[in-house]
This record gives sequence, structure tokens and C-alpha cells, in this order.
Amino acid sequence: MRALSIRHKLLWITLASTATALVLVAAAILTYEFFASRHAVREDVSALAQIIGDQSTAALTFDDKGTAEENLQAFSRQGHITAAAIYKGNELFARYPDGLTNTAVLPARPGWAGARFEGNALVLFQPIKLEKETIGTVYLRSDLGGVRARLWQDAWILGLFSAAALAAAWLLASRLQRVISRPISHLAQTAAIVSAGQNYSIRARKESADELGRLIDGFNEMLGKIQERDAALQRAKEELERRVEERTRDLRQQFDRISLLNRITYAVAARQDLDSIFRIVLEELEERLPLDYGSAYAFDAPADAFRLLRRGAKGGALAEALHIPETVPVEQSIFRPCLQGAMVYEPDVSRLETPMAKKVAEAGLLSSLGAPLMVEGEMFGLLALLRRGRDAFTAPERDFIRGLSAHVAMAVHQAQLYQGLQKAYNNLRQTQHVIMRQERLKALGQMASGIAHDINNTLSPIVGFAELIERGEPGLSPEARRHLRRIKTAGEDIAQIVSRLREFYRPRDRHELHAPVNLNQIAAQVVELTRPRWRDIPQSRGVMVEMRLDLDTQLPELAGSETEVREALTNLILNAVDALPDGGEITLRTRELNSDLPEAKRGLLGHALLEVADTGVGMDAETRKHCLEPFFSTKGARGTGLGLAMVYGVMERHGGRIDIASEPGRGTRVQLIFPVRAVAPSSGAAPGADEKIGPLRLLCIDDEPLLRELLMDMLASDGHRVELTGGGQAGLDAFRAARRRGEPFHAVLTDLGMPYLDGHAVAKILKRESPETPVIMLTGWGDFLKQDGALPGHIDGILSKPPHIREIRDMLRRLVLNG
Amino acid sequence: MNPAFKRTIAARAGAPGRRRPRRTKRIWPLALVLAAGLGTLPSRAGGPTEYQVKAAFLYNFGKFVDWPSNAFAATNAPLVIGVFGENPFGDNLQSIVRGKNIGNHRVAVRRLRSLSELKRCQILFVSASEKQRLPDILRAVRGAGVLTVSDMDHFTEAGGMISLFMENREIRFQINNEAARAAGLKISSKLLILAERSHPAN
Repeated sequence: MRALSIRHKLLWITLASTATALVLVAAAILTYEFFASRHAVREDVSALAQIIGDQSTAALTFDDKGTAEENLQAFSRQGHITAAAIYKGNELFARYPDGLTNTAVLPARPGWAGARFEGNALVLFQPIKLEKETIGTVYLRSDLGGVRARLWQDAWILGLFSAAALAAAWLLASRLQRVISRPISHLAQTAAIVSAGQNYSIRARKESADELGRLIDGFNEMLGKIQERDAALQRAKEELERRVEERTRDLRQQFDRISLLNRITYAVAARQDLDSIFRIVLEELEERLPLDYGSAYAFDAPADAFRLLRRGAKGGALAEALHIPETVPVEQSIFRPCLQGAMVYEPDVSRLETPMAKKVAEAGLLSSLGAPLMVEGEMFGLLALLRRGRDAFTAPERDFIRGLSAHVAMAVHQAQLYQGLQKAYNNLRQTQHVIMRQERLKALGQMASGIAHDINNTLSPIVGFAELIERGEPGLSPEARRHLRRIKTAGEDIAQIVSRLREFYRPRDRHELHAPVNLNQIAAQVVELTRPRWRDIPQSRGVMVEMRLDLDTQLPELAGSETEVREALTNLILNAVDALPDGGEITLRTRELNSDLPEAKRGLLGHALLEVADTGVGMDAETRKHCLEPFFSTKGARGTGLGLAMVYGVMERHGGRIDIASEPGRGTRVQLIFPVRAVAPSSGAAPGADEKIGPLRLLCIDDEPLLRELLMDMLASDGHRVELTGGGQAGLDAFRAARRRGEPFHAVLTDLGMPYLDGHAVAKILKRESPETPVIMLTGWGDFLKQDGALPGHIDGILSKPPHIREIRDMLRRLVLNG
Repeated sequence: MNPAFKRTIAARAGAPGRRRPRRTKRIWPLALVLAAGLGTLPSRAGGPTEYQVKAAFLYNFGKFVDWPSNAFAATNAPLVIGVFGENPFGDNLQSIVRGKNIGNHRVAVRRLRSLSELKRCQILFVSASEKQRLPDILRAVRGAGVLTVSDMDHFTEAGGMISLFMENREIRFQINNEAARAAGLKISSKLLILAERSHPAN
């Protein structure tokens, strides 16, 4: 029903209304008919009863039943009267039809007067009156057949007419509904067309001036408005799309810039050196912003100029083509305002007059942007970015570059901080290394000095007595003398070895380092000295080690310690031999290195090179790293780990350096590079050296009897009067006794390490009592010296054990005769 | 009402009469008496007598006859039933009409002694004793609007209006309507119908 068209609905409505009306009317008519006919029947029956009653009065009065029944026979013509009777008093007087005895239809006695419907029948009792007296009662029963027949008839008639009326209504309605349905259908069709085609220019056709007409007018008007609005909407939509597109483009650019910023920031943050920071920044900008020319300048405050730090790839090429200088005076730069922290944007360089501007303008780079790089309010550089074309940098791009420059500046600042920090850290680490090495050497030295003391003490008599024999026994056979000399030399060598231990932790006396040293001479000596090790021993194993000498004959002498240099070279050669278990070649080379360094003013004439190269097994990186450290050895039980460490110490003391190049399987090359300084030519022996002085009165204090004896013999052989004491207190007693005797000693020699009163204590007491008496201290170790190498005030001279006659003579001459 | 009484009547009147053809009249004396209001009569042994029934007939005729307006001295003058000659009714007639009205008229019974009095009633019963004087009597009431009734033979042929007779032990009557009309009386058709159905045996 809802989906039916208006046309059908109208039709149905009309038909339904009509049918309803008809049914109602029919019902009303039938109802009326029903009641009316019943009423009529009742009236009829009532009238009949009246008539019959009236007619029967005489029959009743004169008791004539026959007449009464004849009267009742009249009902045979009234089909609907099914029963009738006349009662006289309560007695049945006459009946119809004749012989009827059914009391349900024909009561034996009269009932209440009046008509009533009993089921489908009308029953009437009516009194018969005569002269105001009731003389009897008439009873009538009607089966209402007439009523039903009439109602059926009416119903038929009504039904037929209703059907006719409906048909007529259908005909009429189906024609008349068009008046309403056609405009509406038309309107609906129009709306459907409009809706389907979104075509708002269509209009509905108006046919009447009634409500439908107004509806169509309204619809058309609405369409017009929609058309207008649609057009407006379309325009708005297009406008919106355009703006969205614009905005999207802006956003995309912005996004690109932010990504770029992100990339640059990340890239820059990962780098710590300025050059690579600027390289990344400029390359990214040139590539992705993009730029035609990107460069970074530093502000050189003293020169008042912008100095080039870096150019991008494009910028570099262009700068080369245009010959753009690397330093631009601030005065000539268009980026001068950058100094105040302002960003400079010149949309058209061609209007500027500076030579620089002209150059870039010729290249078409008309848009120029300078972004200052600021750290804590100070401008330290700028980014100079150029593009072809006028006004080629948009405002967002300028903002971006301003932001970027802040990031770059920050990154640069960070990098600078980082580099500073790195440098400080490296310094700290080196210092730490040095200190650690010194500590290690100090510990070694302390240990070594203890050993040295004992060895020297033991050695002194050997060397001393050998010397005494050599000097004091002219009648010795040459053979014996040679043996003596060998004993002495070996003893001195031991002393040298022991003294080397000391060298790890303290600089040798200054004067020791200022002797002229001839590297060539030393090289030759060491080659000879070590011959057994590099030739004889390997040869015995059938291994050939070849020694090549490549000596620079023009090599200048240098100031230093010949002994130390010799030791160093010996160590290197022995290392080289060890590195050649299967034979090979050792090359010894000296060279003068003529440096260009302008250090001549500091007395440096140049450098001398002493090189030992072998073709041996070489060192790996780890070994190479640790090879200079004390006690580091690859030789197992054979090595002390002191060789290269000693070499290092020697070179340190000589102000030189070691350069080690080595590769496993490719050999090792060690270069010792000595500074060459002006040095006094070797003056030979001091005047009067080795001459006897005296005789002197001397006091010797030593707890070692052998040493006392040695000193006694040495000094006595020179003619001195020597008094020996075995301890500090005994020495002091002897000294005071001699003074009291009026024969004070010319000098006192005392051992340092003694029980109870040691050498220092004795020396201090002596100096207090007799300041003019020189005190010479004998020691097996030199650590009593102050760090600066100066002697303590209470000691005038120091002699290391084992003492040599010559040293004693020199010392005595210097202290007693000159003092 | 009283079955015993009823049976008595039936026995006298003859029950077989009921099954006669329709054309024959059946008059139930008791019913007649009752219809005439005699139900209040004292109960006596035996049914109504012939003259009791005839007395009721007399009275009831009055209900079916219209008298001309001049028949009464006044509009509320009594309707007088006169009895001329010997009175066969005894007190019956008197008791029947006592307190009765027909129309606006009270019903009264009067014995009439002379011919000249005859006009002073509305219903005149001529006793069979007066058969000899009948022509005089009829002459005396001619045009006076008096309904003449008698149970003598040949009364209507002689010019009387209603004659009573016995038929099958029932009392029937015959009406001479021309005489009645000549006297200005209008006899109800219903009464005429009843009368037409009865024919004297003679």
C-alpha cells in the first residue's frame, strides 16, 4: 500500500471512502428497515388483533365459537400469522389454525397484554373490550417472515446499488484523481530527474493555481535556490580545493624542509669535526633545498674578514669558475650585517656595486642569502647561500635557513667543545702515561739502586786492588799486567751495568750529557763489541747474519753520553740479532737530517739519525705498542724487558726520539733521532789530571773493611796519610782527636750507608764543627742527591763506588787545593 | 369456574353439539352468563336457566344497537329494558343489569303494564303471553325507537325485531333488520352476522 503511486492511493481512498459510506448507509437503512418493519409488523399485528377482536365481540358476547373461529380463519390469507386464538376469560375460545394444540405456539391461557418478540416470532395478546369491559383476549403469533423477506429484498437492492455506486465512483475517481495525481507524479518525476542527474536547471510544469500549483512554484523556486547554492557550493569547493592544494604544497614543502632540517641535524650531530659538519650542511642544502651555491665562512676578527671554511660541491665548482676569493674583507661583503646577528637577504644582487656582487650577478646568482652562525650572542661565521634568479628564496625558506643556521651554529659550537674536550682528554691521558711510566721507572730505580749499592760495594775492592796492583807493582810481567787490566775492565763493566740500572729513573749528571759523541765511531765500536753475538754464535748454529754499515761520514758530533748511546745501540743490535733466528741482514745507518724547522735559534743545528734495521720477524701492533715499556719482553726467560726501555730513557735524556716501524714478517726498523746542538769540542783530559797531590791528612770512614782497606791502599799509594775508621762515631772521634792534636784532616771521605750514624749525619756534624773541611761522600747509589742534581750543603763532593784513583785525585785536587 | 356447575350446564345443554358443523351456533349458557357479568351470581345448584340466559341476551343486545338520539329523554337518561306481559325472568333480569351501564346510560328494568307505556323503554321484551296482542304492541311502539324482542314463535315475521329461540338446546336469535331500521335503530353488523347464521327450525 505505501509503495503504491499517488494515483492508486487516491483511487483506493476514494473507493474505500465510498464503500465505507455505502456500507454505513446500507447498514443504517437495513437497521432502520429492520426496526421499522418490526414496528410495522407489530402495528400490523396489533391492528389485526384489534380488528379480529372487534369482529369477535359479538361472538364472544353471545358465545358463538363458530363465528369466532370463522373470523380467525381470515388469517389464512395472512401467511405470516402462524397462530391465533381468542380467549374468553382464561378459557381458550377459538383457535387458528384449526386443531392446533401446541401450547408453545398457542398458549392455553392468555398472557400479559401487549406485543413482544419471542425469538423469531412476534407474539401479541390484546384484550377485547366491549362497552369498556374486557370480554376476552386475542392472541396472535407472527413468524416475521415478512420482515425477513423485506430485509433481504432491501439488502439486495442496496447491494446492487452500492455496487453500481462503487463502479461509478471508480470510474469518476480514476478520471478525477488525475487532477491531483498528475501534477504530483510530474513533480515526483521532476524531482527524480533532478536527483538522478544533479541537474538543478530543470523546472516542473505548473498546471493549476491551487495548492499543487503553489507546491510546484515552491519546488521550482527551491530548485532555483539549490541551483544557485549548488553553483556557489561548486565555486566554494573549487576554491577550497585550490586552497587545500596550495596548503598541501606548502605543507609538503614545509615537511621537506623539516625532513631536511632533521637530516642535517642528525648528520651534524653525529659529526664532531667542523669540516665535515659544514660539508654535510652545504651538500644537503645544495642537493635538497636546493641551492646553486652554498658556502660557509668564518669571521676572522683580527683580519676583519670572512674566511672561507667550506663550499658545497656546486658552490666549489662555481667559485672556481668565478674565481671567488677565499677571504672577503667585511667591508666589501654584503653580509656585513651578519656580524650583528641579522640575516641578510639580497633578492637582486645585480643592483649592487661591489666586485664580488658583480661576479655572482654575472653568473646569474641573483638571490643571495647570508645566515649568521651565532654562539652565545657572538657571530663566529655565516652561511652564504645563492640561487639563480631574482628573489628566489621564499619567506618560509628564509625562515627555515634562519632556523637551520641556529642548529648548525649549535652543532659547530658543540663540535668545538668536543674537540677541546678531546684535546684535554688526550693531554690528560698522555700525562697519565708519562706519570705512570715515571712511577714504574722510579720503582725500578729504587730496586735497582739497592742492588747497585751492594754490587758496587763488593766490586770496589776488586777494581781498586787491581788498579793498585797495576800501579804499585812495576815488576809485574806483561802477562800479569794484561790480566790485571782485564780484571779491572770487567769490574768497570760490571759497575757500568749496575749504573745503567740507575739511569731508568734519574737523569745523569748534566755534564755527562754534554760530552761530544761521534755516532759513527760508536757504531763501529758496537759492531765490533757485539760481533760474537751477531756472527760467532749464529754461525755456530749455521745461521748467517750479515751486518751492513751505511755511515754518513759528514755526520756532526752531538752532545751526549757516549756510554749511553753505545749501550742503546748495543741493545738495538742485540734485539735485531734476536729477531733473526734464521739469519738475515742487519743494517746500521747514520744520517744527518737537515730539518727546515726554524729552531736554529734554540741552538739546534739539525738532527742526527742512527738507524738499526733488520729483516727479521717484526712485531705486531700490540707488541709495537708496548715494546718501550720496562719489563715488557717477547724473549721469555732470556729477556729482562729493560733493553728498549733503556733505549727510550737514553733518547729522552738526549732530547731525541725513537721511531719504530715494524710489521710481522717484514722486519723492524728502529730510528734514533738525536738533536744536534752546538757543543764544545772535546777538551781532552783536565790540566794536571792524574797528577799526584799531597801529601794530605785524610780521614776515611767506612763500615766495609775491604773498602776501607782499598781506600787506604789507594790514598797511601799517593803518599797521603790516611786514618781509617769503621763507623760514623769512630770517624767523628778520630776527626776531633786530630783537631785537638793540631793536625786536622785536609778532607774526610765517608761512606753513605752505615749503621747508626750514616754518611749524611757524619757530614752534617763535621760541617758544623769544621765548615772548611771538605767532605767527600762515597756511595753505591746516587739517590741521596736532590732532585735538581745539586749537592746538599754539607757535602762537597761525591764519588760513586767503585772509586777510581783518578776520580779521587781529581776530587781531592778540586776540593783541597782549590777550596 | 366451578367444574361441577359447568358439567351441569353441559349436560343440560348437550355436549355433542360442539361437534356440529360450523354453521350451527353454539351458545354456552354459562359463558354467556359470565360474559354478562353474572359471575358474581350466588352459586346455586344447576346451571343458568333459560331465562337467565335470555335475560343476559336482552341486556347484551343493548350493546350492539344504536338508538337514535331522540330515543332518550336526556343524554344520561337510563336505558330501560321493559318487560311486557308475564315476567319469565323473575329477578334474573334485574340482577343482571344492576349497576350496569351501556354507553352513558344506566341500565334499568321496568315492568310495563299498558300499551301506552311501551314507548317509555328502549328494549321491549314481549312476553309470549301477549302473543294475541302482538299487532297492537308493535303498532304502539312503531317509530318510537324501541328494540322489540320476544321468544314467541314467528315474532319477526309478525314485525318484531329480534326473536329468541332454542336450537340444539342453545338459545339463538333472529333479527328483522328492516323493522329495526324502520324504527330508526342501527343494529351492529356483528349481531346481524350472528343472527344470520341461525335459522329457526319452524
